[in-house]
Amino acid sequence: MKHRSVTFGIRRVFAAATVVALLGTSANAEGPTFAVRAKGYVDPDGEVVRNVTLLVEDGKIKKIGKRVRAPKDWIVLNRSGEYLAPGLVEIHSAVGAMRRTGEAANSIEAGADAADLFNQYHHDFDRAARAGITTIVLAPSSAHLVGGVTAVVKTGGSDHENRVVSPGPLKLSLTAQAFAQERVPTSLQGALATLRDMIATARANKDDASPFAHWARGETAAIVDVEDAATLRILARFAREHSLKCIALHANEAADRIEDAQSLGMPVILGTYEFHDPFRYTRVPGLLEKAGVAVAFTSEPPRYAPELLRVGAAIAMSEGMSRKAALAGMTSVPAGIVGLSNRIGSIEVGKDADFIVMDGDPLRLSSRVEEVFIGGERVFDWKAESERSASGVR
Amino acid sequence: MRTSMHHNPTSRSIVAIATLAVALGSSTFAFGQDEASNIDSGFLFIKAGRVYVSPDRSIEDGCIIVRDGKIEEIGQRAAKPEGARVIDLSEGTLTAGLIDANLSAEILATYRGPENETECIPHLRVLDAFDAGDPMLERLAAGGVTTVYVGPEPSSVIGSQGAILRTGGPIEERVIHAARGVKATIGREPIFRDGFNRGPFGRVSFMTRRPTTRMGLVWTVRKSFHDAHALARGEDTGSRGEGSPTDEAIPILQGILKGDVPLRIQARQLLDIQTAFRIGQEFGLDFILEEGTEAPRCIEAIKANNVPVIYGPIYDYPRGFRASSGEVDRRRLSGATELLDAGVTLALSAGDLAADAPLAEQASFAMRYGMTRKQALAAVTTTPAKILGLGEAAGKLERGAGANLVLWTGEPFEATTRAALVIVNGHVVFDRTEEGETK
Repeated sequence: MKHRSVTFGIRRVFAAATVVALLGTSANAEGPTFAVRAKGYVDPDGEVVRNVTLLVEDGKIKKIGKRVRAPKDWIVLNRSGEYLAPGLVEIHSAVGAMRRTGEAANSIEAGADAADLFNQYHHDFDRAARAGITTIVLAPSSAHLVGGVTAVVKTGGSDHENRVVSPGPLKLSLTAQAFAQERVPTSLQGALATLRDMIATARANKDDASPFAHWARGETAAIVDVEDAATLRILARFAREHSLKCIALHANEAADRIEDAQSLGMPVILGTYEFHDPFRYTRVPGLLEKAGVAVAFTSEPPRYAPELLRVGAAIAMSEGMSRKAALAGMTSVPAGIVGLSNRIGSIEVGKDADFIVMDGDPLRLSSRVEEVFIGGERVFDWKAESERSASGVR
Repeated sequence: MRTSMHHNPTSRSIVAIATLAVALGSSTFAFGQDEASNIDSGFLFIKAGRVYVSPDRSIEDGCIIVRDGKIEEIGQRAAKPEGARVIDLSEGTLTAGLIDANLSAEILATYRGPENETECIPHLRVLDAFDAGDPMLERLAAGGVTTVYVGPEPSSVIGSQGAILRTGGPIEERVIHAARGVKATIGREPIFRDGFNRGPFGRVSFMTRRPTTRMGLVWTVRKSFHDAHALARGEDTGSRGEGSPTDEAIPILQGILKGDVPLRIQARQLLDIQTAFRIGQEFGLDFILEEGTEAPRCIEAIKANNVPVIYGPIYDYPRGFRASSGEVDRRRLSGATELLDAGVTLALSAGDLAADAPLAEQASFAMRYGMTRKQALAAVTTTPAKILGLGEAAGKLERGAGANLVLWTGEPFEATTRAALVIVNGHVVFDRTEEGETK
């Protein structure tokens, strides 16, 4: 019974979204087209610009600013008490995954694609959207030395078929989890020896156009789970040795390994942060920022609550990170990691109309996500949801 | 500028007790060195009661100038240069930094363990499995060790390649050789560990390795070199079968056969040492003998085969596998001295013994059982440098060479002596002189 009612609830959310989509569609454009008047918006530098109007045409941002006027026949949403913030980007998750996120038999699954492993109708996408996350990167599990290619997915929108936006970077793991299995390699030294061989093979064969070969030749970056400080240093040396681009994941222990994170020359992914985390973890984002290393946060849904993405950025800020960098860690930095800076990560003309309506600063944890728009489609409406639950209908 | 704490015997013994207390009582002792490693004053004028330029030559009331990471001047009466930090320890001595030629990776805090895929993994690097900034290395530095060879633990019959590292200074300067030398083990340790890696009730899993007997172990060594040798000569080994080395291992094994890759064999009992000789003769292999507990029982054979020995660790009572296996029942505390006196090339090593100044302690033990200070100093400086192929200047104090040195509070390897100042490749990594302590 419970399962049925949940499904029904999701249908209601989608139905609401579709209504908005229909209302917002003007005669000559295909996607949602409308204007939003807001009390302010968070600009690409993280500053709040007051009293703005946002024009969305065909699911893209057409204009944003103080002196922008909506064309006459357009629907105008009046949000003059609220703020607009860019949709958040979750860089490492397994939302919608159907059971395991990797084949158990082999440690190397360079051909695996996370786009094949998830259910785009899964209710965890709605949960992520509710937390303000509009784009999510699905990653193969860290139980594999080479897990496969990640997939960049929007968390909502009526067009389920086109939810996968693009393939993301390759995912690797050097954690103990990847080795404590009944298969080779069984150790970190075995893993790096295997990678050395694979890299040499990929470099010898210039025609190899697989994602692994591109990474092996230093053309693309890969996300590498490092788990702890010692592994981060080992990765830094390995990356130097082979001129590889590596984005260290879970570098939370990097407090006394800042120079290693720096030497990778790439952004670093930190998380999942919770309130009980020790100071030596929570001060890492601020230290990395000072050292000129870009930081992206992750909340790793569905294992942890997607709301922890904002919590992580807020904790980092309270321990010394700048507001701009904390916001970028949930928006533009992860957007850059997946190579979609031209489409997502900020409210700018020409980008996808992925934004959230909040009743306050997104970095204040008391601020509520009131509405979430993806490609101009409203996928979450807090008022409608709370009214439904008040009436007992789910 | 004299370090006032060592004026009289009473304060000296207080210091010794305090050192012992710190060493025994507190793990923060090791981690506390993090701050010391940041001290890098660079330009130093050090005076000491005696300077051991090399094991054979010492200078009374000598001094040494370190600038830009190098030993700029060394002698009896060098003038104090302008702007240098002065360290004057008239009852102290200066030696080259100690070199441990056989440190077991197992004692490192960040070490991630061996590969269980096969018993023959010479294509793997032990350096891939630990952090070059491991806190244990800094702890060794505080005990006067400036260079180490880190090898794998004896869990594989033919293990991974070891690394030669500096124990301190900037991380990017620490690795001297990323992969140098392969360790094979002839003895019961790989068998024991293989039995140990079974599941509950002896369940055999993917992780369970062979061999399970000593003859199986020797067969694995012989089969590995046989296949490498046959393939090098272009012989068709056909389907090489189970227990054969993998394709990745073959080039390294062939490197050992050609003499390009140093081979190190850990063997404790006489039987195991003789087996190592036999395999060496069969394949024309030169090797370095590690541990060699019963080597004093076959001194003539060691000399005839011209095998250098990295002897030790020396201990009163064995623990762990050594105790339970009975492999060291015929140990002799005077063994190292007997080998040296017979003319064997011998270096001392603390191996897998964790202590606060393990190598100095080994030299101290060796001296207690007959070794002269000169011999002991050579066994922890110039001889391991030679065995590791670190070049002529290594293990000595030489003008123009990189500064790896230790200022001791008294004669080196005395029980009451400890390191006061340690410089690794020109970087002050440990400083307990008066000035350092107050920092």
